[in-house]
Amino acid sequence: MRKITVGIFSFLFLLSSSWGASVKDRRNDLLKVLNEEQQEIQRLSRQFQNRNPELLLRIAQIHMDKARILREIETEKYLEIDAAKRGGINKQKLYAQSHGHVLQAQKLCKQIVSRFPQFKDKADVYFIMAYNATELGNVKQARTYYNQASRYSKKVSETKIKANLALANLHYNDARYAAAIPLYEESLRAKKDQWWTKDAFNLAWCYFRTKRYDNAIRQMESIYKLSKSNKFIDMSQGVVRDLALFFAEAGKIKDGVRFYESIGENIAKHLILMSKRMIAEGKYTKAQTAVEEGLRAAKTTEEKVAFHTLSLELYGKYMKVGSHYKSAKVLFPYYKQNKLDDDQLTRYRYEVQRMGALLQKDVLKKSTQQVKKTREYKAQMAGEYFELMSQIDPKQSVKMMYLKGETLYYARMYRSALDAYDKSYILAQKEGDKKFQMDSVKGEMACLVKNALSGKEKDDYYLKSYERYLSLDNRSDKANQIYQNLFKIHEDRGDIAKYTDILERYHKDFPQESKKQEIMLASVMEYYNKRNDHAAIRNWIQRINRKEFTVSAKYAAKLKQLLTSMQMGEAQLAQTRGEKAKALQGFVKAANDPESTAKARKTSTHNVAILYYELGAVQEMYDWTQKSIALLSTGELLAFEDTYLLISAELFNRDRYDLSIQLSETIFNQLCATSHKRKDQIFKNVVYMKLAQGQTDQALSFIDTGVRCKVPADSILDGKLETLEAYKEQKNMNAFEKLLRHLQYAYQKEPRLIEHQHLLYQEMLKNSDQRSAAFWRASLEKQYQNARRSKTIPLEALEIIASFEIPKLELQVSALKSSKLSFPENIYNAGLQKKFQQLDGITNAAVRIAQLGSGDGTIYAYTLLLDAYESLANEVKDFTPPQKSKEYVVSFKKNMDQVVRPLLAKAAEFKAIAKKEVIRNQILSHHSVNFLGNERSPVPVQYSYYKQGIYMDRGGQR
Amino acid sequence: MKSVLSILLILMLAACSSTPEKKQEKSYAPQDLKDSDFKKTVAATFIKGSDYYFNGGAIALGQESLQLRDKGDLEKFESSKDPLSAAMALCYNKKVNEGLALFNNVYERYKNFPSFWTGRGICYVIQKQARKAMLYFNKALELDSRYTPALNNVAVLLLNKGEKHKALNALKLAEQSDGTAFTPRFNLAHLYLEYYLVDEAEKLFFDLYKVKKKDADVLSGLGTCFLLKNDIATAVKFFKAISESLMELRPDIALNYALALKMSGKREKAMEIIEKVDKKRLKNYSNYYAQIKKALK
Repeated sequence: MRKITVGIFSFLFLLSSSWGASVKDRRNDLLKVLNEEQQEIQRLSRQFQNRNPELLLRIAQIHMDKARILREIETEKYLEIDAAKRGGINKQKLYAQSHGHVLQAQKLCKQIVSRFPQFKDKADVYFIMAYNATELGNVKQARTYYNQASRYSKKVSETKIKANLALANLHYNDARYAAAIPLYEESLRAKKDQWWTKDAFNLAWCYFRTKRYDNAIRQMESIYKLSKSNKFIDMSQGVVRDLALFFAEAGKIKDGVRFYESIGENIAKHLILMSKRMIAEGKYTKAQTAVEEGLRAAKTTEEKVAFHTLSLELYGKYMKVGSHYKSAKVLFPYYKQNKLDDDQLTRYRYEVQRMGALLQKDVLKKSTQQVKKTREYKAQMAGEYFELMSQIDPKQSVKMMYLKGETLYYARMYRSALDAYDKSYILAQKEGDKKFQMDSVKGEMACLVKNALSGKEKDDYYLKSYERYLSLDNRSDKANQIYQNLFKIHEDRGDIAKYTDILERYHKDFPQESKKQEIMLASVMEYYNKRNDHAAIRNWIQRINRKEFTVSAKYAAKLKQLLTSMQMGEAQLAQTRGEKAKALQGFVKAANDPESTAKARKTSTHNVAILYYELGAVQEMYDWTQKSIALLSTGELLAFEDTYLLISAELFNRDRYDLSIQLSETIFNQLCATSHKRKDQIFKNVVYMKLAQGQTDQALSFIDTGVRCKVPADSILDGKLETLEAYKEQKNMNAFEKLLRHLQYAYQKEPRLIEHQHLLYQEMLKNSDQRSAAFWRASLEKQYQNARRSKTIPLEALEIIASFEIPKLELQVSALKSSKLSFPENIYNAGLQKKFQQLDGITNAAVRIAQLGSGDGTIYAYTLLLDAYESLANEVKDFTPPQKSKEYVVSFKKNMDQVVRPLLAKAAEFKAIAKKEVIRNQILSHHSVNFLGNERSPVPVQYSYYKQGIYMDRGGQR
Repeated sequence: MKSVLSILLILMLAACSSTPEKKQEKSYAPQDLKDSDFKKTVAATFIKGSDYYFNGGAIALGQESLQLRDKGDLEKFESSKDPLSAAMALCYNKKVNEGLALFNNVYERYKNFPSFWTGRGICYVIQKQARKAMLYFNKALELDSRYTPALNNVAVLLLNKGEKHKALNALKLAEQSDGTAFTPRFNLAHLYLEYYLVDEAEKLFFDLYKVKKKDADVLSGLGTCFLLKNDIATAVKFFKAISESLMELRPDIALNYALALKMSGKREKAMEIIEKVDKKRLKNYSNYYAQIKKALK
């Protein structure tokens, strides 16, 4: 046993003492020595028929030693392999040699304990078996063997101590700290070698793990003390490292601070570790204490950073927002200076983001929503976090700023939310992140709806937001609405350039929205209309006409009206103000403008005509009236006909027949198809004026127009008769005859034709055209016969008719006078009787002529009648029977006196009647000389004034 | 010298008046117009009481018509301040275009004057445009349906057309419209006399005689009336009051005067008178002239 024991210790000695020599050589030497020893001991053992357990034990030990050395060599070999190729190595094969020796040793040991149960060094054998089991990775077996080793060891023996320690370590490794403690305690009590500090260290941890903090702390402090001595392994570093935790767990941080300060250690570092441990173990309160202490003690940047980072974690857990945020803010500059390590960075980002998210979530809670102060605070803080996060992680800045906006919005802090959305938009725009741009804009608009702003500021913001929206989406229904809102804002501000621009853009994006475009266009038009900017309005209307904008037909018509009123407006205003020159200029312009609407042109032209009428500008009033009429429909003309007739009359008044005629004719032609009350009057005016102007053929042609236009028949006839008269005045007998032929055919009962027929009759006679003369004579007589039944015959016609009877009477009188009385008596008597019969005939004829009603005819008839009676009376009175006696003659004459006197009395009566007739009826007949002339005059007195009447210029003095 | 100066003055006046003031050609181009252009000439108000020629002269109708004025008188009227008088004078003086132009020029001021329209009508009569004249006479009657000059002038137009019956009615109407006006009575008297309505004619001529005893036409008319009534002495008396210088120019006066003289036994005087007649002016009187001359032999 001693040998074995020595052997074990020799081995250990060899190991330690030969460290300075080449390792490889030493190992080889050792192996060599071991091989030699093994051979020797095997030889010896064989001598004892392998019944000497001590020798077997030694062989087992040698196998263990060899296994250890070979393992070192194998490990070296393994490490020499390229790291990348190590994965492909068969470790079993690599470690086969060492492993083999382990198995050999184990086998031998098992043989020993089974063959030699009473072996006194059985404890050692078990110890080796335990050790090998450990090497082989069979912890359970190792534990069993160590237990056996301890059991079979003497109370205070090296093997027991080692076995206990090894067992304690196994327990320790299995976290069976309570089981490990007594083993460690016993071992450490038994022996205090250089390893004591190391084993005590484990014990301290066992205490710690079993919450025997005071024991653990005491143990550690001992270890630290002893570690100062070179008799013990220096575990001071471990103590310094771990004791902080023990203090922290024990709640004795201050003691810990004191300890570390006493040993001159940086407490902060340890507090950091302490805190981390606490946090890792979920001991937040303790961790907080450590952190707080640490914050106080921190001197360096790293320490501050570490503690603040830990603070974040801790305060975050407890939602101590203020403190959390404070740490976050403190850390930020360090962050910027890259003073945070990766873990800290991760933690920092995580905490900031997390807190922001949590706060945001809180804001949304019903309970939070109900308390304004809380809500706003949390929202504010969430916003701060998001803002911070955006700085921490610029890649997330857009999102963070947006979240800030969202949070503030839900906290009903609209003004602040608006700013956040604005920022997020700007950031998103920089990034080209259209989704967030849109979200931000929507957020902005939501805030504005909630009256985040008011007045002009609000509108300004709306403008900005709307434009932002449209830059992202200019085709949706919302975009459609936004366009209109934008338009309205600019319109309210009177910023024509801008709302015009909106209109144009709207049209581009929503070309089919005609109604809305119309509304916009109407506003634009109204703007220019108020400013009388005709050029601009015209330009817009041209654009509309070119289909640059989509409008309905109704609206297009309205625009025309607008243009009309615009075109007319200025001029009409000027007219109202009495600025007639300006009004005229305006109307002329509007009338001549090719862009003018039909209505504007009509009204303007009409107004120009009126103004020129007022001005007395003859040609111009005519020209413009004609233009005006040309533009009007018949219905429209009727509305203005008074004016136009007035102008026509004015042209006549100004002695411009030509123009008056043309204008009247134009008006008449327009009214042709109507039953206008003045049509007849206009017709007559035109006819008379044409005739006055010498346009006789044209007058006749116009009368035909009158027929087509259903002018009353009487006016037609009157017109034709006047035309006939005009032809006569012009001595245009061909035309006269042609017309007369037409008239007598068409108007067979018209007595006024008689005079004209008579004229032609006379003309034909003059021309010795007997046939034509006879025709016209027959025509007029027929005309007279037709007319006399129903119509009043003009005096001139009666005179004509009478004049045809007069020659017959003249003949009769001539016949009376031509036949002479003669004797004998019977012939005389017969002759006288015949003369009396003739006289009767003459009288009757004269009466008939008188009955015709012709004054001149009557007087002439009376003249002839008088002549007849007087001539007969004179003939009878003057007749002296030839070859008769004086007495016979006296008697005869006396008898004839009875005949003469009545004749003369009758003659005198006729004379008196005639005279009376002339005076009473004021008959204008030159034949009146026979009744009213001076009988004594040697010559029938004639009188005619050398002028055909005197014209009267003035009324004369009163 | 004075007479030379007077003549020169007249000539100058005539020269001036022969070219009556022409209204300058006015531009009615819109750009040339001013508001003042629209200022309306105030139309004068027609006062019936002032509707006559102040200087009537020796003629009975002198205050009512310029037709019987001699050239010299007319030329004086051409330069009258009264544009209507001037225009009338121009027309009667055969310067019708100028007269019409003057009427046109003063249209705005005088358009409410019936005398304006009758005047224009007379100018057209002189220009032998009877139809236009008639239209303007009717225009005057539109202003005043009883405006005597217009009624008279319509009658005269009718007379010229040979429509004596219508003329008679029109003259009666004219006479009734204003019993104090001379011209319608004058015209009516002549018409009556021509058709031997002596009593009516005599009455009218006597009315005129009361006003102007030296009016040759009135004296001639009265002379003829009495001639027809066989009151030769009175006839001769009236004819004698007529200046014999007229006999050359007025065969209508000379022939009846000669007849009256013949019937009064003053054959030689009759011959003397009839010899004064300018044969070129006889025209319609040729037959009558021959008859009387034959009777004088």
